[in-house]
Amino acid sequence: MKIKLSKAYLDNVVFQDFTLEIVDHKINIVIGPSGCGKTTLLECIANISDYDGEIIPKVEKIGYVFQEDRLFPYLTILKNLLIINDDVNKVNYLLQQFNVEYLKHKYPHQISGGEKQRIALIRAFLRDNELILMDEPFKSLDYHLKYNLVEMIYKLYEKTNKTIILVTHDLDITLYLGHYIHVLSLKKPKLKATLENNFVAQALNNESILLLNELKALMV
Amino acid sequence: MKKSSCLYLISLISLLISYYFLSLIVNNEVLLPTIRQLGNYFYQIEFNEFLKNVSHTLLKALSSYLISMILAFILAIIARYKKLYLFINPYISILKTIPTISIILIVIVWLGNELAIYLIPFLVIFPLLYETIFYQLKNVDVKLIAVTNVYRFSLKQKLKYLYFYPLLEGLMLSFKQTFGLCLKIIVMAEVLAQGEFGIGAKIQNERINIEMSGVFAWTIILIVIILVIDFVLDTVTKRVIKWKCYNEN
Repeated sequence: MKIKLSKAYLDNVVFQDFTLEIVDHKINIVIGPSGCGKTTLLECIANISDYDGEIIPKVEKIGYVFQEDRLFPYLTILKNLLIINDDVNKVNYLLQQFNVEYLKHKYPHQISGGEKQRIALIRAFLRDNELILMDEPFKSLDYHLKYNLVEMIYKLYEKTNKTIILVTHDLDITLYLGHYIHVLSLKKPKLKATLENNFVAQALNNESILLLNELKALMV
Repeated sequence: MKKSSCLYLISLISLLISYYFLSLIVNNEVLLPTIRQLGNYFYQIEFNEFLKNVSHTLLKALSSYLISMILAFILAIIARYKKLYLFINPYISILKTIPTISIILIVIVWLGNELAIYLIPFLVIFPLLYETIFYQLKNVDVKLIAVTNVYRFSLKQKLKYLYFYPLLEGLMLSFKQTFGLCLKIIVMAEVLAQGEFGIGAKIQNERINIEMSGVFAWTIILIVIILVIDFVLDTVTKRVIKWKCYNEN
């Protein structure tokens, strides 16, 4: 997927002729400091924010995991998923797979933040989406819940082989999940570097620590 | 028995005891009838008479409320267009601020007693319902709008999941808060319009005859009706709006 776009909020120019190449069927991590336009980038790709430029190919079917769960508060968890895909068997299968079947008759206010985020993640993978966007899905989760969600994302990726674009601040998650790491900056050039990571879903080793150090240097 | 029900019962009994002693101290049945006199009056009310007067008041309240709700709904949708909102807004502000007693007297003089009883609650309830519906439509969660856009909801789905449920919640809660008020205004209008039937008409009739037991008895009937409606609405609301966190106490 090739992205070329310009985007401004009144006088604040976020992207000026910004180009980025997303690698299909891989996990692409977008990392960078606050305010560099990570969320805006996802919103443009999802077509929920106006922009100048083009994204080729135009993706119609998108799954989106927002920073907050964004579940419909007046529907049960099951109904929240069924309005996205009415295939009950698929919904039940995914709920079982991720050990959250016990939540299906509850309302969002009756479950915890971590559980809500897991449901939001299942929702993104429910339809036959070509692209999955994730905007800091680990925000406000504790360490344990965060790594549950990381494992869940990786399992879903392995099962579906979808193209994933994940925005995060976490270097350790970036290293664990990202096949490709796109580092953005506040200044020009907006795209500082794109790194390839051969250590996905592995524990830290000597070589991956080198990559981590390279990432840390880019983030300064 | 639940602790809250127990406290409710104790409060009710203490009210009856206070009333009993107060009526002994006042010792004037024209000013404050005793519990025995009230009991006698209740005993003398015929069931048909009771049913006729109560149903008259309730039907007037329901029909006025329904008309208010339909009109408020239509105008709230129209007012989503800014120019029309600016046009409608002064009328709503006037209706909201004009004293109820002024509305009652003006409408009675202009339209006569019978029509006034229907129009008065409409004029009081309509602006409240209009504002509830208008703000429910206006304050639809933008974050959920983004979800419906990303997942490409159809127009029917958007109407259902973005507007219908929040509106249902707002209207149920508003109905609970304003229907009692609507009943009280109907009774006030019945008293002032001197209608033939209805709780207000009975209160006015008993007042003219200086039968204070009757005034108190019909007032108590109105209170009980409002409490029963409140209880029923509470139960229905909890069943319909299951997603709302209710305090269990």
